[in-house]
Amino acid sequence: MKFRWPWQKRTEEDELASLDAMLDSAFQPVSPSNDFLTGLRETLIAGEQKVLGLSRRTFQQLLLVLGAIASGVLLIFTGIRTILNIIGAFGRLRKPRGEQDPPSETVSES
Amino acid sequence: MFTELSDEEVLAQAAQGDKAAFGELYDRYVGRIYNYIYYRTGNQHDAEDLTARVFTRAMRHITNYKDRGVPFSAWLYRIAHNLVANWHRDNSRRQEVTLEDGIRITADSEHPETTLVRTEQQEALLHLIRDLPEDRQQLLILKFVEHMSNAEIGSIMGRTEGAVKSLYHRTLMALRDQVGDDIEQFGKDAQAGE
Repeated sequence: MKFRWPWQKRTEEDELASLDAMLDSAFQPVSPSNDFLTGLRETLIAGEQKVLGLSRRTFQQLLLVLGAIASGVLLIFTGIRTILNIIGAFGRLRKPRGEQDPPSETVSES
Repeated sequence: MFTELSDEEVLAQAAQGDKAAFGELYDRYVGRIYNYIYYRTGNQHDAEDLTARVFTRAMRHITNYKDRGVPFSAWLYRIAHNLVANWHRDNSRRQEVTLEDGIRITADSEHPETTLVRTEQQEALLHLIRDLPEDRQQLLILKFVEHMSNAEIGSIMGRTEGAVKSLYHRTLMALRDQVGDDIEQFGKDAQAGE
């Protein structure tokens, strides 16, 4: 601890008192605008919308989950169709030309 | 309806999903949280944005709030503190001087030049304060904006009254070293304005 003479200590106390006064004058309360206060209150308290009895946030989450399930099912279905088409194409390639499926018969109107 | 109830009583109802009760808490604390964030960020726009996020987050988690023996305000200030810390981290590379960082002219009959000089000094001091560690900034704001006692500040910051007093003294010493020779003139100007 630095040694200070009595008159130096009084000076330090005066300096700290000056700082205290500076801080008191610098920190003046600031009021937010009424529009901001009212708008935020409405958003928080009255602004939560209900969709099908669920909060908007819950509804959005539910839509996301349903969308993910539907996308997954569609992806699986498409994958199965693709595999079946590939298998079918290989099957047709292996058959000799003479054994190709006959053209489908068309019924002529006469 | 809620104005005569204590914070704990209103909080108990808000924690059960009573939006009107949360509205009462909002009315009681929005100004204080706004002031705290305003002096931590230095501009009105970010203060409004972060204040909105504080109360949005508080409302989302109010049903999980548990009384741990600290005031509800301490919980709000903790949310605000974390959001401001994130804001500073995200804006650390952006040195932006907003118009709000400039002049706040006091409404008195002083000569405009004198008013301008004092306001620039106040702004210089506020810039110095924003370079202080976050706990010291919080202490100064709670002390000089909210006029809280050391005990009340301690309950919010999770420290003893003695620790708050010691922290305040160290903060003053650090500021004194930074302000330097201008401190006497600053102090006289500040006292002359009272």
